[in-house]
Amino acid sequence: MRVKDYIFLAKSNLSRRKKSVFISCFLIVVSMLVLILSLSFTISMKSAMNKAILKNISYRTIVINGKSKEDIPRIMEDVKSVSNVIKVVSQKEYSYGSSNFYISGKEYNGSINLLGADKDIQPNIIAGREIEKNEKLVCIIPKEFYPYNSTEKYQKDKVIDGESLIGKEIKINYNSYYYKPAESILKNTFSKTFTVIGVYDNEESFSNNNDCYISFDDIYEIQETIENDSEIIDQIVVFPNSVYAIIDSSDNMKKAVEDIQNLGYNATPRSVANIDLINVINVVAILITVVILLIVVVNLVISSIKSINDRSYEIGMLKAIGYKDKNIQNIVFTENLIIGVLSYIITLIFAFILMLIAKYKIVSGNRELEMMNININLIVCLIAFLISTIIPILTAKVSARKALTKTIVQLNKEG
Amino acid sequence: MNKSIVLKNGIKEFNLKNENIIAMDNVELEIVPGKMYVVMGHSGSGKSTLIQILGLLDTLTEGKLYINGEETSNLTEDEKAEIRMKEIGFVFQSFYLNPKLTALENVILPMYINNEIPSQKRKERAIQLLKSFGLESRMNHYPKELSGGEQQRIAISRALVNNPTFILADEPTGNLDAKNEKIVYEYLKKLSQEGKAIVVVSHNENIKEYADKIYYMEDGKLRE
Repeated sequence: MRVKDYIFLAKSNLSRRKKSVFISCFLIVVSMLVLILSLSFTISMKSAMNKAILKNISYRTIVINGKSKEDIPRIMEDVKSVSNVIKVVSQKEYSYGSSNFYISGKEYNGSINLLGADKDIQPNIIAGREIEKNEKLVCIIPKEFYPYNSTEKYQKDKVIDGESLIGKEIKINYNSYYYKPAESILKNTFSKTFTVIGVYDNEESFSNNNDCYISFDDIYEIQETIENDSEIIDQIVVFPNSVYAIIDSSDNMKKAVEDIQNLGYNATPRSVANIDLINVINVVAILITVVILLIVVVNLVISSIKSINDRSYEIGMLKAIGYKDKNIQNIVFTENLIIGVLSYIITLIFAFILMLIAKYKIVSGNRELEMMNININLIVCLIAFLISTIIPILTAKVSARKALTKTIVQLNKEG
Repeated sequence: MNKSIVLKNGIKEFNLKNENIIAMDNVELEIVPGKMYVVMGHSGSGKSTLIQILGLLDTLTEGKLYINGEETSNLTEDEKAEIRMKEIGFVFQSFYLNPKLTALENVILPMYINNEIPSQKRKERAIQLLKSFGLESRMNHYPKELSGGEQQRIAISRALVNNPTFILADEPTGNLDAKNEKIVYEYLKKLSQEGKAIVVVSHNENIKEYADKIYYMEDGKLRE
C-alpha cells in the first residue's frame, strides 16, 4: 500500500470527525505556541545576557569594600596576587558620573557614566581606535550615544550617532563643594576635555548607552580633585573607599570572588545577571506545555478510540477484504500524523504572527527588549515538530491496538 | 491446481453466558468454481457462522478447512488476510460502504493492498466493473446519494475487484426491495456462470431458482 493511499484514506476518515480533529489540533497548537514563544523568548533573553556578561566589563568586576581610605593600598596589593585578576583599581579610578558636559561645544544637562579603561580593559571597538597604553584625555563612546539618564523615557530622536563624534571633543565639568550639615554649597568647578577616538557597540555589550570609557588615570584625577578641593564642615563625608578587581573572564568570576573572600575581604560581583526570572518563566512554560500535552494525549487517544469504535464495522470490512493489521494501524497512524503536522504548521504561522506583533507593538521602542533581539528559535521549533509528530504516533499505536485485538466477527457485530 | 474450499467435520462452538452453543455441527461442504451455492436457514441456525468460517473471518473449534488444497488452521493472520484479499470476495447485508468515499473510491479500496494490480490500472478496472453493473453514471456519487440496490451492486463490484475465485454473500438482499433483489441474484448467477464460486446464505425462498446447489442449515447441521 502506497503512502499516497494511506493519506487519501486517512483524510477521508478525518473528514468524518471534524469536531474531535479540531479539538485535537487546537490543543496541540496552544501547547506548541506556549512552548515555542516562551522558550524562544527566554532563550533570546539568556543569550543576550550571556553575551552581555562576556562583553561587559561590569560583569567581570568584583567590588571589595574597605573600612577606610587607609585600607585601600593594602587591599589592592593583596588582591593583585589573586589568580585571574588582570587589574586592580580603587573606586576613585573606576567610575564617575557627570551631569554637566559639552558635546562638540553644545551644553548638556544630562548624564554620562565615565568608566575606567586602559589598553587591556576596554570594550570591543567597532569604529575609530582603542585607548593606547598610558593615553589620557581620550574617550570611547557608544555607537548609539544617549547622554541622558536611563531612568528617563527613552527618546530615539535624542540618540547621537557615536561615529559622527569621532575626532570631536567632550568637555566634562565637575565640582568641589563645601559640605555643611544642612546643604552642600558649590565651591569650584573644574573641567577636562576628552577627544572621542573610538566607538563600541553598546547593544552587543549590553551596556547603558551613556557609558563612556576614559583612562583610569583621568577618572582618578577627577575624583582626587573633587576630594582634595572639597571642604567638610561639621559633618562626616565618606569618599569612595572600595577596591575594584577586574577579572579576565566572567567564567572565572565565582572562583575569583571565593579567592578574595578567602583573603578575608568582603567581595561581591559588581553586576550579576539575574536569570532566576528567566528560569522561572522557562519552568512555568514547560509545565503548562506538559499539562496541555497530557490533555492532548488523552484527547487524541479518546477521539481515536471513539472513532475506531464508531467505525468498527468498517475496520471489520477492511479486514474481511484483506487489509492486514499493519495496514489498519498505518491508516490510524496517518490520521494522527496529519493532525500533528497540520497543528504544527498552524502553530508556526501563529507563532510568527504573534512574534511580529510582539516585535512591533511591545518590543519596538523598549531599548532593553530591542537589545535582546527576540526571535523564534529554530531548535525550539524542531523540538515542537518532534513533539507534534511523536505524540500522535504514540497515541495511534495505543488506539489502533484496541481495534486490532478484536476479531473481525466482533468488529462486524459491534458495527 | 484446482480451486476449492473444502470443509471437513467442521464444528464451531461458542460460550455464551457460561452456556455452550454449537453453531456448526460436523459440517461437510465443498465449494468449487462455476456454481452458485445457497445455504438457507432460519435466523440463528448457524449459516452466518458458516460463511465466516469459509471466508477465514472466524476459526473452527474442530475440523479442517482447506482453501485451494491448503489446510488453514495454522495460517497466521497476515496469511489469512492475503488469502481473503486474493481469493475471497465478501458481500454483506449492510453493504459496509465507506460514506466519505465515492462509489468509484469504494470499489478501488481493496486494490490499495493488492500489489499485483499497478496503481495506474486501478481506476480503469474499477470503472470497468461499475460499467458492467450499469453504474457508470453513479460512480462519483457518495453512498448516501445511491439507492439500496445501487449500493449493493457497488459492494459486489468491490468484492470482485481483486478477481477472487469465491464470492461469499451473507443475506445480500436483506435490505433490498423485490426489484433490486432480483437484479442482485441475477448478477450473482451470472458471475457463477462466468466461473466464480458463489456462496449465498439467506432465508429468502426467492433465491432457490438461481441456485445450482441448495443446502439447509438447522441447529448447526447442514443438509442438502
